Amino acid sequence: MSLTKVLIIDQDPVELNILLKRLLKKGLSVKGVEHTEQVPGVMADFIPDVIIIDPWDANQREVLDFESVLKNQQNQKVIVLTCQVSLDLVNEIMDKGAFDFLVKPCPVEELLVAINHAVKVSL
Amino acid sequence: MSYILDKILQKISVKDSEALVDTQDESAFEQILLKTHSFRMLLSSCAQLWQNLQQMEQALVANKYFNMIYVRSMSTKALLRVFSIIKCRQEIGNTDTQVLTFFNQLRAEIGMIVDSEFPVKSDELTLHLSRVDPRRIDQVGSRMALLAKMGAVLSDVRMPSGFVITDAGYQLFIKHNNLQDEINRLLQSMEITSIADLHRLSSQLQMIIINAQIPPALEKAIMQGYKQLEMETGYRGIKLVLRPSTGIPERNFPLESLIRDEFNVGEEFLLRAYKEVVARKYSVSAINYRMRRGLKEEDLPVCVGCLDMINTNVSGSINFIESRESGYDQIIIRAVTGMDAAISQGIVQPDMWKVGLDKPQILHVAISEKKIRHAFFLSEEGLNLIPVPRNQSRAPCLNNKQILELTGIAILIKKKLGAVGKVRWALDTHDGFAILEAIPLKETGTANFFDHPKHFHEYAQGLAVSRGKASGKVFIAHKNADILRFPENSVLVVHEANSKWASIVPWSNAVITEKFGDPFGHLASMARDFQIPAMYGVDMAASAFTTGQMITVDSEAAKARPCSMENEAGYAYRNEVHPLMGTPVYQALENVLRITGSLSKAYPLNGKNFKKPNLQDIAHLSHLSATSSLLDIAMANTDRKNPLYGQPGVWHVWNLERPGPPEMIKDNMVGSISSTPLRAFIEGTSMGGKLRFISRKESSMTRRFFYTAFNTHTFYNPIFSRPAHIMYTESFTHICFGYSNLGILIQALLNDYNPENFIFLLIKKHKSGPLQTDLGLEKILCQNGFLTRLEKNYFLARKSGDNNKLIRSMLLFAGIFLARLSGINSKEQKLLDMGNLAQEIMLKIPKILSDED
Repeated sequence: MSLTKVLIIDQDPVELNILLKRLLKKGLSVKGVEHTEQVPGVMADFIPDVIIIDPWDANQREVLDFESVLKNQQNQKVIVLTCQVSLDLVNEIMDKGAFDFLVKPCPVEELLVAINHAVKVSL
Repeated sequence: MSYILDKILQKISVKDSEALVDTQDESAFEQILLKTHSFRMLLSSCAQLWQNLQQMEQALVANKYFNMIYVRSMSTKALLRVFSIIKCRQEIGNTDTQVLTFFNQLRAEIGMIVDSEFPVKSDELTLHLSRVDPRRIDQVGSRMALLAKMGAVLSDVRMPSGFVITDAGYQLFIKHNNLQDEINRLLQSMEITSIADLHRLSSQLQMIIINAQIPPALEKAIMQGYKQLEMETGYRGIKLVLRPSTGIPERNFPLESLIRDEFNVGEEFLLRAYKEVVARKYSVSAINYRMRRGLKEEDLPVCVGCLDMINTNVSGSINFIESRESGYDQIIIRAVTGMDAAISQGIVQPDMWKVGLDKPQILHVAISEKKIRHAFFLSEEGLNLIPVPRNQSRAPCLNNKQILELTGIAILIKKKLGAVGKVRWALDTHDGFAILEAIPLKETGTANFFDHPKHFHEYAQGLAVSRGKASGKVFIAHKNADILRFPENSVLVVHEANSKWASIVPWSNAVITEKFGDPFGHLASMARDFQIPAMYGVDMAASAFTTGQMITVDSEAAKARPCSMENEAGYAYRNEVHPLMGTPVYQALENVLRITGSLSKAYPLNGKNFKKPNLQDIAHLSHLSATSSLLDIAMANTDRKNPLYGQPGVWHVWNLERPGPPEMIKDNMVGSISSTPLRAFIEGTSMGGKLRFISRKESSMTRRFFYTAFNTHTFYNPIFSRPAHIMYTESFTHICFGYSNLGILIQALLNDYNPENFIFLLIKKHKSGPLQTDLGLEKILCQNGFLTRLEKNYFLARKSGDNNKLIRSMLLFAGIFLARLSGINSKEQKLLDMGNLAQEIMLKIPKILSDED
């Protein structure tokens, strides 16, 4: 069975690095980028099963282009992992086609469950 | 107006100049003034004490949240009041020191309860587990203190080793980053209108902590602790489990159970994992918990235990089950393959064994299908979910020999530590059983889980894990996003009892899961803590119900059914159990009240009780003996004889604010009554008829009876040994008289400060006759909010803290009642009629008061 491939997009390098290490230790194939502009380059030779993205910064500004990720997805499931939570935002994101919405800080075990769920649904 | 009323009015109307006795020595008169002043102070202290005690009792019976600070402050107030009462009593002239001795004993006992822990102060940032003991609870939190205590008494049982990052370490971390100011700012600035808002707040608070820097001194101490553990165990790169340990040893549902452990943590992520565990103090569930209990931020430092991961093939818990008949005589052993985190997270339904402890034997077994298990690998971080082979998934985790071995450990724990609640264990096939920790968790409402219905009948059925009945609109949750979109006051329907749904529970009306889950798990415990009805194993609930459909969940009847919105919308019945029941803070208040004495259960008339009096006994005795001392002064030169049978009463009336020797009431003395409570009582007597004394024998007989009745005890009630008398001030009245061998005492305080107001009735009965309370009086008083107590020879009733009007109505009642009663000559008729009479009068009172208004 092939390794689950996960792409993480988070503009916070510390959080990105921690999550990369933890998921790698879980035996996943993981890559990470800080900007959505880097996504096409990565996806040229790394087709993820799941994309994890935090589109907002601490001031709730959409610093990453979430829509472009959704448009360019190739059957990947997109999971939002963020601190920015409001009822409207959750509804909007889910309506746009996100697979799930998790709130930071998320224990790696819970994130794995969500990733596995997304992979299972894709199959 | 009745004869007696005329007399009293006449007496009270005596002018100031007449009230003062010219011939009295001035200094003696000043002494009397001082004593009456002390008496008024005593009355005030008594009223405040009763108010204190009433509030404490109310805290226990109502769903009120309190903490040890409340228990300490209320206990201190009660002690101060009683001390003040004793001092006033001494000033009035009673120098008996025995009461003070009793008081000092009780003060010491209360001190033992409210200051039962004598914390060891230390600035150490980490502390090795071998140096932890229960006295360090403030330093290491209750969870680690209890673990260390278990380690000390269970020397033959394997336990994890480790160290604790202490309260001092936590405080240093918070101060180093000025986190508290930032946390407070966020807490105060954010408006919470939905569960999504609460999650945003929780997320931001946690990220502030996670992104903060660990101060170098703390980092050094933590890494030293880790290295030391490596050396002790001889394993380089040892993996740890990080467990939160707070300073609140709650018994119903400890806060720690809401803060997730961090498993399988190595050196690389140790500091990060510490911050994550601390940050979970602000998880949604933990915020809900603190809000529900009214706990302040600073009351909740998070200490973190760093313990070595024990190799685990099978793990689970032992729960001590309390039965009404014989205490903790059974345990429930739960077990899953792999790590027991799968149980608390609701991922796996454990195997369960109910075992009797008296003669260890397995009483009941329930084996579940365990398709997955939690395991940890040393090369990784955290836990992994691994499928269990099909041929093993239905096999019991433990054999009978292992169950009995665990039972032996449980018996040992019970013997040495008591029934601690819940004990977590792990089994390594090479090293045998290890005890991971004990949790002071008292579980209730799960007694029937071995008998759950398995099939649909008329309605969807399931297992009640939290009792109650409620209705609401169904919300079927599948994804994590559904947690954020959950509409408040809905019925949560989910597939399995996963702990991730727990944060919704306080916002829901009821919870239903399709699969059977662990009745002791996180979700069920949360539902019980918040008194939300919850049912597990409602097969196909997500298909049977649709989102938005109105349903009623009756977990008492283990049923969920559709209902009409018109009939049952918003209806919620929840099992009313005090939320703090069984917690140490609840027990502390219970213990304090045992020493202070319950309002409804104390009076120093019973000499046997006074061998070990409570605070209230002391207050009552001081009150009565002070009254007696004042009466001695007042009646030094008066004729103490009571009239013969059937004659109008002769009253000795004394105004404490204008003290002079009371005189016998003379005819044609009419005036106004300034004392509000006395006026109310007198008005009552005027409505009820003539208030007469109908002692069948000469008055000294009555005196002798009372004296005999009480003198057999160490202390006796001195008031009934006096002739009928009234003492009063503007706001206080004390009325005492006897007739037909009944003694009746009425005391009332009635002023503008409602909490101090009270009315107290004592009816003494000769032992040969039936008790008045049998005849309905007690019932009537209870119906009107009195606390009553029926004793062999007397009946007590108290009502306090009410507004002026209510107390006045009760005095009116007392006046009418006694006047009517004294007008009935036949003793038998009188006894028979008391209940009816009380009922009749009580019905009249509202009309009388409304007419006055």
